[in-house]
Amino acid sequence: MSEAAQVELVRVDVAGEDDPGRLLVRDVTWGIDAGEWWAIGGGPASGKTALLSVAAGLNPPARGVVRIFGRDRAAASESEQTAWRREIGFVFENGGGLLGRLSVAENVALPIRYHSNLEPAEARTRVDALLQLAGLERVADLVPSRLTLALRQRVALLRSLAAPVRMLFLDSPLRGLAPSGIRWWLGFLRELRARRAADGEPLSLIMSAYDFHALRDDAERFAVLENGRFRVLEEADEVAGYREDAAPPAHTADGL
Amino acid sequence: MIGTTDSSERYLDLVGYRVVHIALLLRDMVAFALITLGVLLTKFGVSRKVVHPLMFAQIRQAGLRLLPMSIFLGVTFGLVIIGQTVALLSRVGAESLIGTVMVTVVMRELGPLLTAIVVLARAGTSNVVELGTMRAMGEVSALESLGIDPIHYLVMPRMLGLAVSVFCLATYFVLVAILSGWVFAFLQDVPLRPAAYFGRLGDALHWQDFVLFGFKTLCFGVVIAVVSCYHGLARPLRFEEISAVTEQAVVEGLIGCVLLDALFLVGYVFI
Repeated sequence: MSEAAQVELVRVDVAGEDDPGRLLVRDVTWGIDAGEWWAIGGGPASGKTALLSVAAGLNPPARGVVRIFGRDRAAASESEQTAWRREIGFVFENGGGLLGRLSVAENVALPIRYHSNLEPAEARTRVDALLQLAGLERVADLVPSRLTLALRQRVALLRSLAAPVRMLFLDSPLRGLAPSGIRWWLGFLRELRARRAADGEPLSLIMSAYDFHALRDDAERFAVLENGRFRVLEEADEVAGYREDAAPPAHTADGL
Repeated sequence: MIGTTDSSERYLDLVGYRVVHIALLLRDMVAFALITLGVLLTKFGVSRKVVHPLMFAQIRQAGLRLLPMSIFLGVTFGLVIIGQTVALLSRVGAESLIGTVMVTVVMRELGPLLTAIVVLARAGTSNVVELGTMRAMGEVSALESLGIDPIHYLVMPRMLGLAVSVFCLATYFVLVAILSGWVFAFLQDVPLRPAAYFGRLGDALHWQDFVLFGFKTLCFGVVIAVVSCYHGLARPLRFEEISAVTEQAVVEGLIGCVLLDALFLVGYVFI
């Protein structure tokens, strides 16, 4: 863990959101440096989403210390946490948590309008530019329920990019995608990251995945959740050999 | 004998469990209401171009759309109850009590309470379902991840919108009920001129009635908003839980409004 770590987890236990008494991952010590691309592997119910939520500062840990941009999360004020959340994007699984009553354009506009107190028309230029990035202008006026899950996930990605993010957490964005969809995501993230690095504003990517097959060429750091433990994979052959079905779900592991 | 003791203990356990459960629920709801009040006081002007339109949307949904229903109930109530009461009081020579009875029954008690029940049934339930679905779909977590306070974005507009809606609907209800009551009495050949009818109403009204009417209806709106938003948002929900939670919110909202209504009796004692 370097001194410049954007997020640090020190001996952290992670519980399930719907059942705070059930520990999913224990004793995690992890640091995310600026500009790194992490891939976090694990099977179903292994605690990937819960771990990412804690690392992104959305949920408190059951135990341990989480430092975000050098500040202890537990001691941070509400305004500090709001400021972090504008710098830490989070794309949720299963459609990205888009607001069902708003159109695609309104969903993307929401964080821009809310944080800058703008009328819809005042945010329109920025929203159009974001939609163009992903070629989604034609669905701008549709509500999310009219879109496929894969497209909803892309809209959620654009919505998270509406703020000036320095870190982007992506919860299993490649799950269930066709090869063309996987290529689109990886190409988009690669380009985004390269552009941000060229601008001198490195973007960290933390992505959970069921396997590392598609990510081996792009992600730089790999870790897995196995038996309720977080383990960083240091060797290339460990990464190549990892399969999610080799990792049992945490709730079947001993002691959990 | 042992069986009886076991049964009594089980019964006591059950009663104790229910009492503790109700106390904890009450504590959580009061905490939720205070948090919302805090957000209202500190963030009312924040992101007003986004949040204030939501408040007007809530007034449209819970107020304007319920206006025909409120007027219908007011007319029916006026015809059926007030008209008959006026006719009966006139027949027994107790016209002087008309004003007092009308103010007590319509303005102080049934007008606000019936309106609150209608708003709870229509807008309160839709709030629980809408917020519960948002919670189950992960939309609330997504709002938090975007730095948008769900209390500010989802609860505050509903609380203000419902409070204003209950106040306005109850006002229309009372006006329509009083007017239709006189129409019914007139149709029954009750010898009561409009000037005398409204004069007696005016004599029975005090300025405190207007203050308490406004305060009471606003409080009913707040109770409905707190109960419905609390049940929709306060804990992680699964889809299959939403209908049960909605039912629970209606019952608790109703109890809350009736208890609040009883509490206002204290205020009326001093008038």
